[in-house]
Amino acid sequence: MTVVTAADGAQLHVDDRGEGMPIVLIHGGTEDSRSWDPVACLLVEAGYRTVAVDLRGHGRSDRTPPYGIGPFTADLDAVVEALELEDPLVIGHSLGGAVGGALVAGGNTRGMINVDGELRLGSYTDGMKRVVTTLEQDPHLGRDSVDAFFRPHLGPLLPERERQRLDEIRDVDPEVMIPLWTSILSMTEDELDDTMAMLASVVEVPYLFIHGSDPGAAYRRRIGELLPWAEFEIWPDHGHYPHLVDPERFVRCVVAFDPAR
Amino acid sequence: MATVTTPDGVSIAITEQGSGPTVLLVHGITESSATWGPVPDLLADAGYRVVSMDLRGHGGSGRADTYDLASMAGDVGAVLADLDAVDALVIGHSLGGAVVSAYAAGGPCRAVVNVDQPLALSGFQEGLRAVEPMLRGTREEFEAVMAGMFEQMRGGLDDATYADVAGSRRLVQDVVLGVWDLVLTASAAELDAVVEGVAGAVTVPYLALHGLDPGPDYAAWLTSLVPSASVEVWDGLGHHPHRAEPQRFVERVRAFDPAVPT
Repeated sequence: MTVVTAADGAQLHVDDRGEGMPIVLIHGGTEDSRSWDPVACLLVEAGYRTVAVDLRGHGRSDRTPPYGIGPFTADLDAVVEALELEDPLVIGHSLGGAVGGALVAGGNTRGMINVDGELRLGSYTDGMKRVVTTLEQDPHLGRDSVDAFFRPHLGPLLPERERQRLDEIRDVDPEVMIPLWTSILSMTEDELDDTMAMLASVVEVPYLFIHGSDPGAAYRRRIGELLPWAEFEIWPDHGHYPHLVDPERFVRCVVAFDPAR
Repeated sequence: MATVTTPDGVSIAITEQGSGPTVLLVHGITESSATWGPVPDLLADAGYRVVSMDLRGHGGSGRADTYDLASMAGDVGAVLADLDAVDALVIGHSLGGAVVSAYAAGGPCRAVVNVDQPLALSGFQEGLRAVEPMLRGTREEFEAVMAGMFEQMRGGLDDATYADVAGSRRLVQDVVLGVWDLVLTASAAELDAVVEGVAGAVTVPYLALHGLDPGPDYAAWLTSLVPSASVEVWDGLGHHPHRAEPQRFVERVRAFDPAVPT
């Protein structure tokens, strides 16, 4: 465990392993750096240095507001600078995909892989609103409500071992989740799309989307308009965690995509 | 490869194979699980569940803010607890020998094998201080002094094995300096007190297996601190006797082990 101090003094926990070209791994909401374990092990064996961050309010990092894609991105900038990571490849899962998208828009990275993270809320909106309402009204039901939110997205192929591991990692802290999810939900679909377009307009690096289910033709078309050079892969039935269903395939895919290899 | 997260948040990479009584392997400084070469396979064939871990800052394990002996001994405890294997035979080579000794001083295990790590550290301390400016110097100086140290301890390794061992090393300066911080900064008396505190608390069967002769007085000194210890010198094999003669090493472990392998 390495600790990096953010601009506002918050202590960020970083799992920094291996030696070689750096890869930054960004986890999804309610999770932490440990969710990358099976992938990080294989990436290190493949000759990479992996730097998996606990976003603020998650895992062992300080629970210090503000929480949101902007603050998370600033924290990652601090990590990249403190650990002197030169042109890292950025891999983000779910919420981490949006954070990674903002990070690569800032420059000095060599590519971005977005793992099942939609850059709009679409079908997730209602479920997220339900979770926030539950957390506000009865925090004790928060965990059940979050589990119910994720369950339909796990997919049929995720091994039981990984389900249990994610179950142990998942942490529902209303103090973090309410402000974070509220800030994400505060944007309309149009505002999200504008943000996505604005970020995409300054991205210059190779971009890969890996989805564990088809996010729909409209979304694929929009990504094609915004990032015409982006590669788009759908791994049917792999669900929200395609990298944990088949970590070997995922790492082969990273190596094949990585412009530095 | 799998990961165990320690209570202080460090990811420890482990590999596991075979079934039977558990043996835990802990490698030396700058090395990793890969440095054991054929030993894990041979132990698994001999009827053991073999777990090999990468120390913090080494191999596939995470970097940390501290690399002191107590933290690394704590990592051993975290791995064994996670594997539900508190009656393991713990085998450590070089730095790993010191780590498993420190673990056994406070944690449960059935026996210890320490491969070529003398616990009397005063001579090592003098040697290390002599090269301290280079260890703390430029990357080139650091790498040169480390390479020189390992070359000196080569002993009877053939070219292919020596290259294999050298190829498994990652020379990371801040990790090495962190590990050796105590030896570099403590007084000789403080170091002795630490060593006596650790060794004096070990009560399980303890085999010290040396490929470099630790000197005529070493066995008497060690058994005065660890009455359960026996010292064996496989003269001329060098710092990696288990790589020079892996089959003989596994047979010796099996004969020493108080648990009968299945």
